[in-house]
Amino acid sequence: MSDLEYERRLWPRIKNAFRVLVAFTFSHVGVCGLVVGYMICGAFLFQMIEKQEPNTQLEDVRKIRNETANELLSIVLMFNTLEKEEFFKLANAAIKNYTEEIVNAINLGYEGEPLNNQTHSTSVPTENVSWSFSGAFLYSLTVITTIGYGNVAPRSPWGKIATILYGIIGMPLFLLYLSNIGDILARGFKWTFARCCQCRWNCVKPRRYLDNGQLDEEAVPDEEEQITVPISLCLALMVGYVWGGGLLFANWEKWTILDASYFCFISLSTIGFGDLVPGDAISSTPGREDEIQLSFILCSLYLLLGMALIAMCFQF
Amino acid sequence: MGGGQSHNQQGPQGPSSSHGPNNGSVLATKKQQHENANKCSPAKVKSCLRTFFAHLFSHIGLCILIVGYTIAGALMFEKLEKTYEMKLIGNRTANFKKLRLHYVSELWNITEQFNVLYEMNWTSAVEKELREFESRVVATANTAGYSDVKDDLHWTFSGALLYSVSIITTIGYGNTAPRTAWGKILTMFYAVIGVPLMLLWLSNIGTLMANTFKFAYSHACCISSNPSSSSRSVQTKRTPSSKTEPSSIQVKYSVSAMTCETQVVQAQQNMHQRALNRREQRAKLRSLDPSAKQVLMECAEYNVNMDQDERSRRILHQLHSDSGGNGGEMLNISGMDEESSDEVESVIDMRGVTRGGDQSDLRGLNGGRGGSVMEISVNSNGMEGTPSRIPLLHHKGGGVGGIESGPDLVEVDEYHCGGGGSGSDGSASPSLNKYHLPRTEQRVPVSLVLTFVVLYIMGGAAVFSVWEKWGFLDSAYFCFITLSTIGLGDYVPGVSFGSAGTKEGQAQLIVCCLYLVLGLAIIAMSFNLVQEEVAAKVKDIARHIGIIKDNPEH
Repeated sequence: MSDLEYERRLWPRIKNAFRVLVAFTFSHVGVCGLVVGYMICGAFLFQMIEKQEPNTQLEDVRKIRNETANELLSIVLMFNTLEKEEFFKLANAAIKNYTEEIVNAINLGYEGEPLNNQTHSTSVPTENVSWSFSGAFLYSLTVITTIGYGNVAPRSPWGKIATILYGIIGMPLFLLYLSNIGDILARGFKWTFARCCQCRWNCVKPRRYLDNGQLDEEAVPDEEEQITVPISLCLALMVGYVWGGGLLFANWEKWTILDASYFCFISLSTIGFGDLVPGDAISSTPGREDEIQLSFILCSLYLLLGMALIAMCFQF
Repeated sequence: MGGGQSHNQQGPQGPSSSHGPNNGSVLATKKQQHENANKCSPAKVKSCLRTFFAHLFSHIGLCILIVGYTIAGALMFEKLEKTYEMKLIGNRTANFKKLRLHYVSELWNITEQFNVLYEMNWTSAVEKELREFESRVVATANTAGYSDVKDDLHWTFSGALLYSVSIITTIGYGNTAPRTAWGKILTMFYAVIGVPLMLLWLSNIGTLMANTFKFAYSHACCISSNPSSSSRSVQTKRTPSSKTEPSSIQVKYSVSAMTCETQVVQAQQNMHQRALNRREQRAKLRSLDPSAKQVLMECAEYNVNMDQDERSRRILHQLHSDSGGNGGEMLNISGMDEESSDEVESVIDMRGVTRGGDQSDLRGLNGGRGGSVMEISVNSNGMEGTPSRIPLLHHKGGGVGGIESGPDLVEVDEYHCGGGGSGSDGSASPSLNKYHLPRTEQRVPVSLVLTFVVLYIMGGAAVFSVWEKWGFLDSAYFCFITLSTIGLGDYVPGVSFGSAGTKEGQAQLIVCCLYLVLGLAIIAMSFNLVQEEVAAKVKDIARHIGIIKDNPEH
């Protein structure tokens, strides 16, 4: 066939392929990948935007520290003979001031000077764990699921604008994901449930007989369609998942079981206080950043699966 | 005609009389209506009041329930957490004091060490101590869980109130969070009950506000409406939730059939044409089902009673002459119960026949779908099972008429508005448009709703930026994060430096609660208003792109 004909035939095929691709993206499996991809993009975006902030924080705190030291020096120099009580009183006041300043800085996200950085040189501090890739990933997750922990939050104006836009697009996307995944899981669950019930019923329920006395095999598929999973089973599933997550996180994060289940519940209901967040306990001891990142990832997976389960239960 | 007039004077009383499909009661109440044609019977008033209070309590009751639940939660949590927090604060203060003392004595030691003050050494030593101190503070802040280690009390009443609200709306700021074990357990239970309750309330109030909004919008539109706008609304395809396209096509077809018919009737330019049309019309009318004729008669009656429409009088006359002895049946119309609603449906279908369309087609549409058209015209709650013609019989003066215009209401009454506008001999046509019957269902444009939401966010941002001394961007960011129920908690009104625990801070917290609850209601309302349109648009786009292949039926 001629080139022109071939082209004419090719173009509809390309369009068709494109159409199939787009349909797949918005279909069941595709939407999962879409959501995960969106979160990864968000992670990169936020990481890029927010990474710069801690440096200025550090500079500010250093400046404050210098000022306090100078103040103390002037206190000392003020007295020709240094009285202990006087010194204590004034130094106390100075340190109190210093404490307040540190606290304000903490409020604004300051995380402390890394202890291995002893010099005053302009060496870059070790990577700020909150806005590492996995931290940013968790943050993106909390935005689009509307959990919103808040332990990491954008400080820069661009970060805030990015959060707003990211949320506006991400939240409907996540709802789409939930409905799709809920659908699949619900169907799968119903099917499994029907099979189990079938096994049970085959032993108990009298079989239906057709007119000619033969066993009515076709009755069974009908029942599958009308299977309603009892609510108690859904509730048990949810409670079990929260409990299981509690055990997992208690083990991993060294929380109590109550704290861990509380954390799971608060996260899965998308309330998301943020008072307990994985990685908090570990972050106080430096050098274990890999574990922290792993715990972030684990938490994200747990949340994704948990919300899918909730969506599934709603489909029943 | 007398019977027709008495119907008109009854005002919006028809619907409640046809509450049940019970023939006997309907006839009895109808008789009662006949007797008390000119005054409101006590039974009428009572049932009106009853429905009014039912509505009121369902909305108000739920509101009160929510408020009560929130306040109860606030009191409960405050009691649980306050003592613990006081203890914690006391501990913390003591700890810090000790810490400070420790470091100050260290400084003293350092100072004593250097008999002669070498500034550099002293300064570096001091700096080292300060840095240690600082890391201790940071560590304390982290483990204590509070991002701010100040001494402000979090668990005041308003703080607890904001906490409860943040739980049941699933916002979850986190600036105030339970520390005691019982607090955590109770939080979980509180959420399990509170979140569905809140969702219920939101859907309830969302629907209410959406209806109000639509009402206001349609009124605003009607005030500035012209015939073209009312006839435009004829084209609005309203798909009922459970039934799908076929019934809406039915009604659209019949509605346009009606307008077409009136246009046919009105396309009379000269006597010959007029006579011809009259003959045609008579033939058409004769070919109608008796019940169809009845309905047409009612329409015409209504028109005649409203403003002496020449055309309608003609139709009426013809109908009367055709129907002969059937005139007496008109009296029973308002009492028609559910059964004959099917007949009415077939009437509406059959009217399409007069247009000259294929009769068999329409019968196919009609068959076996009894009541689908009726469903369209009925209140979405299904509370009044009124046949569709009731609005045709009642004054506009009655206001909304008997039917609450849920999203499923179709303008069967378009006959009047659309037809009246294009008549050549319609001297009464402008006046006809005045009598816009139970409000036409205008769909609120998405842009308007979005603008409303954005304005609310901006307004809140302005207020909070002034009150809390945040920047405008920060306030807008806060409003967005709150209303989307993300609730990061980095910005919370009423807990900023120096204002927590004060009267002003508490007032700010309460205003924040009100703002976010109202904002959520507005968002629920906007979802209600735009979901159909957005879904339709998305489907359109998808079809356009080609994701969804066109169905042959569409």
